[in-house]
Amino acid sequence: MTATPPPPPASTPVPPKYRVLVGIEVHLQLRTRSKMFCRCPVRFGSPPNTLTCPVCLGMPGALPVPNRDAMLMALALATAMQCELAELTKFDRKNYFYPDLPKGYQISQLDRPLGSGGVIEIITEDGVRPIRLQRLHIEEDTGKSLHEDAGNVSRVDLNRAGTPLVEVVSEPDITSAAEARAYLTALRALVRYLDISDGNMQEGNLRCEPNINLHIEGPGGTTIKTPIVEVKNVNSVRNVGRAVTLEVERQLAEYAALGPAVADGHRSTRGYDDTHDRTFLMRRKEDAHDYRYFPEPDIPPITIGSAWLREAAERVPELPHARRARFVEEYGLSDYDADQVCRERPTADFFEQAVKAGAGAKPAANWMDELNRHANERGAPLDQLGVGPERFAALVKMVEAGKIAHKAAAREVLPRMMETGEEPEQIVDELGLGQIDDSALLWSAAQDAIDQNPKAAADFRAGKEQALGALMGLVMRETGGKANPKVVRRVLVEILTESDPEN
Amino acid sequence: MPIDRDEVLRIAALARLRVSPEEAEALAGDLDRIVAHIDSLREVELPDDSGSLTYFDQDVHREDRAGESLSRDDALKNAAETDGEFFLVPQVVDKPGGKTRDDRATRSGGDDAGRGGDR
Ligand SMILES: [Zn+2]
Repeated sequence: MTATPPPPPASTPVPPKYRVLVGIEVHLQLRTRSKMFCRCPVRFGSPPNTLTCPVCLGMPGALPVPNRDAMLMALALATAMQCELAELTKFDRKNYFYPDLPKGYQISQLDRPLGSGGVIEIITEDGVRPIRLQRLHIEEDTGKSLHEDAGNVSRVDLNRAGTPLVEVVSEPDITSAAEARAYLTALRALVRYLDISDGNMQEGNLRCEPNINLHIEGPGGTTIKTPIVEVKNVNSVRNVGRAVTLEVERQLAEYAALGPAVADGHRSTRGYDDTHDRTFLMRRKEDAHDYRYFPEPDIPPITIGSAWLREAAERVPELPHARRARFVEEYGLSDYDADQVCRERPTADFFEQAVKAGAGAKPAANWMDELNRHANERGAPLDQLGVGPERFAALVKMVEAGKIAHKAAAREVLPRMMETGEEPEQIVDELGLGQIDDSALLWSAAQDAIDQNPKAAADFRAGKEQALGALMGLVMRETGGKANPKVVRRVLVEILTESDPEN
Repeated sequence: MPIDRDEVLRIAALARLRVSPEEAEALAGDLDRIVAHIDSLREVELPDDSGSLTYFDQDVHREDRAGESLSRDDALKNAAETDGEFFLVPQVVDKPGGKTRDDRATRSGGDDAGRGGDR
């Protein structure tokens, strides 16, 4: 009964077994009022070079003084990630030359970072997994260099120079593109819960650089390690996944071409090009940079005493993973729903208030996407849509009680609630949506009529308005003439225009 | 470790200083003596509790309050070249193709502090 499968023909190359190792470095801009070491305002979009002073311009004799709030924000993040907090922390100078670094060095932290170790829990289809962290430290941002396509000058704007940054470095525990995306999603959720950064990758206040290599099972049980590649210019969660996928493919191809000699290559930096969805070589690190770090002599070391720790701890709210677990436990949500609801703190807050106001947890969770879509369309936060959790709960309850169809509630009642601030009952009455007890019945009758009469549907879509008459007749018959014809008409048009493949 | 001519040239290159081989030879001797002098501090006997880095009894920091910045004219006043809005510098070549946007990638690398060196 043990039939051994035939060996593959010798000509078929056997794909190598390999393990993917990805570490991610993230830089986060902290949302402070003033810069890290001077009192210049932190503000995005100001006219160039209007937010500078002798400190952030690197004038001789200027004295940097650390921003206490920035320290606390970084400490809160380190606490939330269960880092070991430094008892004594200090700043160091990292020396290199670049036009957007006016001092010729960046104030950073080398050997006494604010946090060491720690963990971020990620959620993928395979469940929850911890990604270990190496460290968390504070540094200052650089200015911006704008390179012209033509011409031989670059323009430098130093408004951003000196903005507080937190750098979070993970261990190479991430093993796939999906995990890389999940890591960034989790870190972004964390900083938004802590309210310390916008965490917006497009706007550059969360920047990430994945470093990627493979451990390939070579001949004779050897492990061949491909050189580590760091990828820059990754500006969205999706692109982090792309960068990992592309790099794994490229490194496998390199192994196929070079064999074990691939391991002799050098570390390199590649850029992600999202227009062509590829990475390109930026530089090899044959000559490792020598940043000649030394302690920043202008800033005394800082003792992180109990007062600091207490204040930092006070800034840590219930975190996404704890809240997720509680929503599963307390409200009976599925892991998936709980994760969806808990990704953003305002969503979780709104959801919880609505449930406390009487909405069913499961239906309320399903509604949150719809609400967030409106919020995005209006560019308004969830709590400024004009529909508070209580009135929203009233609407959810009406749907639960079968007084109105979900579709009608979502398409007609909710938008009107946001516009007029009316109560859902009132809107349902006015629009005649509750005219027959079960308006879910009306929607399904309309859908049935369309399904049974594809020709009339096609004619209407082709512009023959009168074709609607046949469909309306069907629905009226089906509902025993109790439906409001105006509503039937609107429902039919709604369905027909929505499912129109041309539209 | 004695400082030799090559070390001086390496440090000079990192600091963007132009040093001739002859100057490097002379500087190597000078720097070597300076470093040796500083090294002699290690011979001083210290009390046991001196492992701490703190030599101030007060942490120095400030509240997060924004203040006044310089006017742009003042900020640009000492620049070698400006267009009245930006500092102008020789073209920065950091990316191939020249099609570069705002240079958001930070330049802190995985080579910091020997991170991730062996994997
Ligand atoms: Zn400043």
